[in-house]
Amino acid sequence: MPNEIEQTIKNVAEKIGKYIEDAATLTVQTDYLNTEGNPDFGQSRSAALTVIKLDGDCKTVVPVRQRDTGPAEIESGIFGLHQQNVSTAIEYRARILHALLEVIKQIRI
Amino acid sequence: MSSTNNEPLEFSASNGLNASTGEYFFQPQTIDEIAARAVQDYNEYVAQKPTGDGVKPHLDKDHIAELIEHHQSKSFAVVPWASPKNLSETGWGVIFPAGDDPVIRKIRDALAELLDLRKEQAGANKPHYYREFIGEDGYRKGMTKSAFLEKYGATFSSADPENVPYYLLIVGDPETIPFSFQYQLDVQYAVGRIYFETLEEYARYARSVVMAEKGKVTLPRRLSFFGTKNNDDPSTLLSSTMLISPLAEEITRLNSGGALTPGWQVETFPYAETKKERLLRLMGGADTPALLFTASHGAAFNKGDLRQLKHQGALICQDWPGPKEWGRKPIRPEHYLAGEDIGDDANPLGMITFHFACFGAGTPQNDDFSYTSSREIASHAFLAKLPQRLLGHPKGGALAVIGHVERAWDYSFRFDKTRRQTQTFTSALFQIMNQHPIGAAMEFMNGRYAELSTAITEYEHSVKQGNKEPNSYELAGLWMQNNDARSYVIIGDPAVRLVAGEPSAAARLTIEPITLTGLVTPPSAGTAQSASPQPASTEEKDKITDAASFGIFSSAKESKQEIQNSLNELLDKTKQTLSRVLSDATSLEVLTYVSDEIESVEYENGKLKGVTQLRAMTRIDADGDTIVCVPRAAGKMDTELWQVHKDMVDQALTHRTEMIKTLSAALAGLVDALKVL
Amino acid sequence: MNPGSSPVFQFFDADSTYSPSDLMGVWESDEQVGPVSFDISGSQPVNMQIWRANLPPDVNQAHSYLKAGIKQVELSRQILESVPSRLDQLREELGSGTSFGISDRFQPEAELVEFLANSEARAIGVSFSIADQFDFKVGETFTGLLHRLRNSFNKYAWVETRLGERLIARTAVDWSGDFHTAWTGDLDQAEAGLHSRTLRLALKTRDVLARMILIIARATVKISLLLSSPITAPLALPAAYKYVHAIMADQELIAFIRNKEHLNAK
Repeated sequence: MPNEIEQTIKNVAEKIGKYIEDAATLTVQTDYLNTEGNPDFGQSRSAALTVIKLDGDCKTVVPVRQRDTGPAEIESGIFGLHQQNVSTAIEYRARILHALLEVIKQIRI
Repeated sequence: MSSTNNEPLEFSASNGLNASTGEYFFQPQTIDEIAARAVQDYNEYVAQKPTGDGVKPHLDKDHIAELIEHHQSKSFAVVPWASPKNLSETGWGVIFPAGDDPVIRKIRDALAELLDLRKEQAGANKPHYYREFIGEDGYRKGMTKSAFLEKYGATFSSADPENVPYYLLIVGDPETIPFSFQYQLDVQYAVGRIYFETLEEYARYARSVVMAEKGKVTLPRRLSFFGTKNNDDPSTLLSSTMLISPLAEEITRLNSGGALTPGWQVETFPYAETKKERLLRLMGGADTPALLFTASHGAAFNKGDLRQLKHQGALICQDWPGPKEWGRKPIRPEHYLAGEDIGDDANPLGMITFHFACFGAGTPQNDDFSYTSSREIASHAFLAKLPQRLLGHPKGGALAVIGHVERAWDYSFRFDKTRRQTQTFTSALFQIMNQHPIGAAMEFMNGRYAELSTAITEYEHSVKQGNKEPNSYELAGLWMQNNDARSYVIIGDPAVRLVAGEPSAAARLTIEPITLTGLVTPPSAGTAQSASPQPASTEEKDKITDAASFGIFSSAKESKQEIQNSLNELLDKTKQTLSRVLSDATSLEVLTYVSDEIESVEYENGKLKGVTQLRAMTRIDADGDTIVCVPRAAGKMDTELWQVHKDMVDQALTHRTEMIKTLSAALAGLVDALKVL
Repeated sequence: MNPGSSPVFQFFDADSTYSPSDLMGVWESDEQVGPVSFDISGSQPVNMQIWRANLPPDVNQAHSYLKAGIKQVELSRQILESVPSRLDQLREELGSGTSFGISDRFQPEAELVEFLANSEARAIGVSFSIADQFDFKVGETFTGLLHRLRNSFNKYAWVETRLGERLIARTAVDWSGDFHTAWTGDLDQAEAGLHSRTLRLALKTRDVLARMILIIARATVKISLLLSSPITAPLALPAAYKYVHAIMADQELIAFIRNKEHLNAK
């Protein structure tokens, strides 16, 4: 049985390591869909995209609307929602990483 | 009515062993008491209404009439132009409980491998020779055998697959589809039953039978007789000397005379060797034969004893030192072989077993032999766990287990104190060894049941007419023999056949692993009853406590083992769940719908079903990558709906992180607990 | 909690039986709860746990019921989390376990100490039967709890909120935490908040149930270390189970925590 327990702990540690590796880049994409009727979510349209790396590099695709005159303007409504989603994703990743650190502490890897 | 002879009372033989107390399970009754019960039954039979309403199933007029007809006409169970060995001539059918419970469909799907094979076999010439009695056609609660057969145009004569197939597999627990229905149907048809608690077990059993049918499984052509003779115990003295020994001799004689396929080996064991360890070797261990016949006490527990559902019908081995030496103490698990003793590393694939033991196949709710006729021996009827474990084993299941529901009396094999009456057993074993489907092989038992029912009816009729003097001894004997003969059942597909041959030197085959999730509980047995015992009444709880505080555990060592096992299972599950949560494949999804008929909304296969419209979606991968689909109506963001959705997302994220913390705490706690225990 | 005829918070699990103390005195385990009926006998799907809030139609009153329920569960969790440190403190007081004098202790500790003293006394005897004092029913109850926890990983939570006669939302939460929520079409924001709280209450209760079992497992370890004789180690589990439940039912402690929160709030 001690070998099984050790194996269990080892498996969890490997999973955590892999997770940390995958979590190095965070991608948040916001789509929109007209909800009149019964829409098909497969036909949603991309509105905004943010990619954040662990080293701080960040790239954002912002939704804009072309005006008749002057520069394009940002679709602030949906961009605002997108920024909320980015905050949520960042917070979520942080909480998960924190929870995983708890795992490591608890099972004393 | 009084006894007219001076025969001493000897009905104590073959009573089951009360594993709760160490005593024999049923108190001996006088000849007169038993005869009075028999007369009571007869009067009930005579006085029943034409509709048969309210009468006990085994006293139903139509049922008795069929038994008499079966006996008097010596009719073969299936129409004579059908060979019992050929499913395309006999037909094959499966009976589920009626209704459209999705669980039934899942069970049906889990059995698909077997059903497809039987369809191919039975329906080869005539498609309707394969039948699924499911949905509206299934068994309805309270349905009699007559009502069931009449629905499909079948009558009381020989089984004609044009109406109803000869081989019938009941799928369901005995509360949903009663034992009485099985007994009645079994008179004319070859009936078996399966019931498991998980879909996986159904699928394993199906795969096991298919492998056997396709010739992929071979077991040594060996019939092993395992008969205990516990010290100072009259029951096993009788069964060892008047059943096991003569049976082994007769089969050996037939074998020597060339009546059987060449190459059969018949083995018996000295009594001292008929211990649990030996039996484990025979049931999926290194010495597993193609056919195993056991004779022993079956463990019986008081109603309310926490071990009853798990251990009732367990085979009591030579390890039990007998009543004198052991005394009135609860029987320990090391004395008997129960379902949970068959480890995951065992391999019972392909074997067939026959157990002469009380409750070896199952337990009814009421005592069939009680003088008061209403004594409850269990909170509900149930199958014994040992056959279930053998048939649903992860490495591959046994093909069938033949055993007794309720008590097994020595009247099965002796007519009076001195004569042996083993021909029924010999005939059945002979047929099985000659590759007859076991349902057909068991017709000899059904024939005996029919013979005895006829004898009782004729006896009573003669006495009432004044043509015969009442004889309590004769009547009591006939009554007990009759009830005993009725109670043999097949747990498994009645069309399975032995897979004996010359096994190769390579390791025995197992089935491919099956992973299906889903628990099954018997619909009409209530909710908690199959998973855990019915709560005992206060009085019964006191009795359990008084009996040296033995509940499910009979020793601290066993309790520790039980707890360790449970902790290990939970650790395993926790580890799996945590791994899955962390894995690449596990994203978090939050979906928000609206519905104008929300009462109709259900959840199935990971989706909401009913009148719904999906309005918003968030998907977060395990590493945090996120896709969100926000709702827009009339060109604007639907901010109200979005708020509602976002609230759900926030909750889901909190829940996910809390879950990881709880799982990790679980992992740590369980690891620590296991290290100490 | 609810002066009306049906309980406010109902819980149902097809293959398990829960006691009121298991459910923190908030949820009532009810065999009649269920969104779907089946032909055979009205049985429920076995892979779900149903959590239902039957709230009064007045939204403010409904909110106060939910708030009270969440508070009760949080209180239970706090009490539960105090168990390991209480045991550590007891271990310190008892030293290496040679002294079992029952002094002025809280009731759960006093009972535990008495149990430890009796165990040691029996272990000294030559002819010793653990069966005499091993509470097998408690042991079976604990393994039952372990099985339920294990099975709950296979189950999804089905959470419903009713406001008066109206069903306003249903959420399915599966083992991985995915949420699928259906809202009634005529919902308003205040009512949406109610279901959100019902969900929180149900998921918190599930979490506390799981933690209870784990706390018992950890308490088992600590108690077994207090027993000097290995022969008595298996007794640690039922002792731990009783100890944890005694603490959860300790009214003095509950009152103390409530009072402390009340003072902090002022």
